[in-house]
Amino acid sequence: MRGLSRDRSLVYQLVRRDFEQRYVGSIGGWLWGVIHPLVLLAVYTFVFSYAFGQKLPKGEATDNYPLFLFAGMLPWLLFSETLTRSAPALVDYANLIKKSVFPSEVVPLSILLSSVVSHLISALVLIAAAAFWIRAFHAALLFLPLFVFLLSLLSLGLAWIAAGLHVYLRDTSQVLTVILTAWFWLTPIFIPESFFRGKMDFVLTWNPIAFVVRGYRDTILGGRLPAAGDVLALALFSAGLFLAGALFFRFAKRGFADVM
Amino acid sequence: MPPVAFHSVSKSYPIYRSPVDRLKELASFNRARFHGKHWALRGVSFEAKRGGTLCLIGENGSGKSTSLQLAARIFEPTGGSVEVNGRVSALLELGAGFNPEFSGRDNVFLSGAILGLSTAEIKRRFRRIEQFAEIGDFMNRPVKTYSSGMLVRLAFSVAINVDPDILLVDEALSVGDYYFRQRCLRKVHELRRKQVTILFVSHAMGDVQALGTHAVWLEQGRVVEQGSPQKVVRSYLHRMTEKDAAYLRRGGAPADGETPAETVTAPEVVETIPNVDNRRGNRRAEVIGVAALDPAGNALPLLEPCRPLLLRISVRANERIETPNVGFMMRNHLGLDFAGSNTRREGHPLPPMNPGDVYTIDFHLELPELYPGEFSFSPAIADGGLREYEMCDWVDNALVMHMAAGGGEIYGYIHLPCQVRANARIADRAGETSAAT
Repeated sequence: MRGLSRDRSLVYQLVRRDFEQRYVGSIGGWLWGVIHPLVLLAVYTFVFSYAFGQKLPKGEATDNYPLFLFAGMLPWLLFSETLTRSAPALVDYANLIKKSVFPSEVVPLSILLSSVVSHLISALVLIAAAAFWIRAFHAALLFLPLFVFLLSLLSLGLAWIAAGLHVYLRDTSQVLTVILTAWFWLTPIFIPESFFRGKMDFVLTWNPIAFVVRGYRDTILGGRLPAAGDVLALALFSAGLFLAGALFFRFAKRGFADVM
Repeated sequence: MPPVAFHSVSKSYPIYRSPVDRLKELASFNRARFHGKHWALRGVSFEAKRGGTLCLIGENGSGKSTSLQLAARIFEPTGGSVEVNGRVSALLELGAGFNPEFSGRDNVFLSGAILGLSTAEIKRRFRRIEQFAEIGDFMNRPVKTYSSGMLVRLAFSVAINVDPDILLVDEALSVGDYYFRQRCLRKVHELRRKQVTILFVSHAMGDVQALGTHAVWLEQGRVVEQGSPQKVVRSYLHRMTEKDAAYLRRGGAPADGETPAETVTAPEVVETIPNVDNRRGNRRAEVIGVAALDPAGNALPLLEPCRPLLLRISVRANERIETPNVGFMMRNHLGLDFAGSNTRREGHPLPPMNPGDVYTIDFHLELPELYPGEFSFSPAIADGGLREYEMCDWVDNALVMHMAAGGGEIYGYIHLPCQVRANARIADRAGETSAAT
């Protein structure tokens, strides 16, 4: 992975192009990056606050359900988008991988970075919304970049595994979709943590995304400093998965040209 | 340090029934075998010199492209080692190295980045690349919409503008039109002057002889012969002619359907071949002599520009030849096939020959002003028409002669007969014109 810094310019090209492809050519341009989360927030507000009158139990970062939900969705979207887009991505580069010296590990990396850019736009929308709506704007926000970073490491590690596997097993993306659906509901995003506590504690201790979701809510909405134990556990998960992904990809890469 | 060196390199391609088999093999750390094998190269060694042009020749499937891919480090050799020193820019298969979904512009940046250039460096070169490729607005459209000509123009333009130390070219140029080829060849000469090492694969033996400084002939993954391009190409063509003759014997005889001229008035027979570099053909008929004479029939010691030249070729049939065709090829000092003709081409078909018959043909030529240097004549006799024929005997460079310098400078290879007319309007005596030659 030393090569990744050498391929800076390549990563930059891929990210720029990916990002442009999403926004350039549309009339709204990058404004869509802001409009999309705003609409999502409005829909959540309507459905959960007005239609269902959803209430949150005491002890959560906030009692505002739409913001609570949105803060949970944000990291999940970054995670699942990176994975689902990375898995089949190498096939698009078959030409390059087979017939030139192409560092294929940059493909998932560029997908992650491009997703992070739109993720940050959405995060700014959330921070602004929280500041105006529930007057939440705290020093704890300084910890948010740490969570973004750890989430990125984690997502990239798993994206490398998914992308590497997909070259050999074309069912990987299908299986991944199924796994992600289950994973989504086993993460306290819609369902508050208190529901899992006692009955399904493993969701809170073995699901790294749960730590990230909690971190986002605490720092953006609750103004609470993240617990040191949480950060440490997440850092271990992230570093472990990142390393595992990097090693697996380096290993799988050797056979790419033979089977693509 | 040689720019490129192959040390007894072997490469086998595994053949997998399904991609999963490859994964199983990786998982077992290559202890388990789930594949068949195809050997593309076996024990190949050669070395390219800095600033030299190494040509790989051989039939399809002989391992030429695999060699280039190994030099490009796309994959590792199965055995032996490949040494590469310097930045490699490769023009392999058509469209290789491009992402078909990306626009031409994005692909330029992508390829540049893959070659290790920074974005700023690519930006600096972008205008040059765009200008050389000449694909206009297509630069902003996805590469999948390109014609093969546009694809190769863009690819070549990128490859030469990234300042490579080593350029690999795999027949890609044969797709371009004549105009583009000319520009490419000029560029190749320019790169050579800059000490860029070039490895190229070609089926155009003319290009190999004109551009190459070293040739390697591969057959079924092994080196058959390597050395000076003139020599290697000669042996290669010899082998190919033999192979073609064998094919013709098995079936498929050609015919042109022209009626031969009634009589042949034989001039004096020539029976000496001054030089034999190589002979190829099935020898059903043979060249027995060749000479360059003046119109009076006296031997010429030197070729002179703008003088009539009589090239006399004598041939003898060993078997019956239905449609004999006698001709010659003139080569210049670069070994370039410069000019040639034959009795068919000149509209003078010869009557069939019986065993023992000897024909002597005079070609009356007038040489234009040519770049002074060595010229060679290769006489030949074939049986058949212009397109389909069986080579009976071809004598490479049978006659080598020096071209004397003419009156003036020769720009390029040839000075075209030319007359100049000029018209001058003298400014200070308005209204009057005067013509001058």
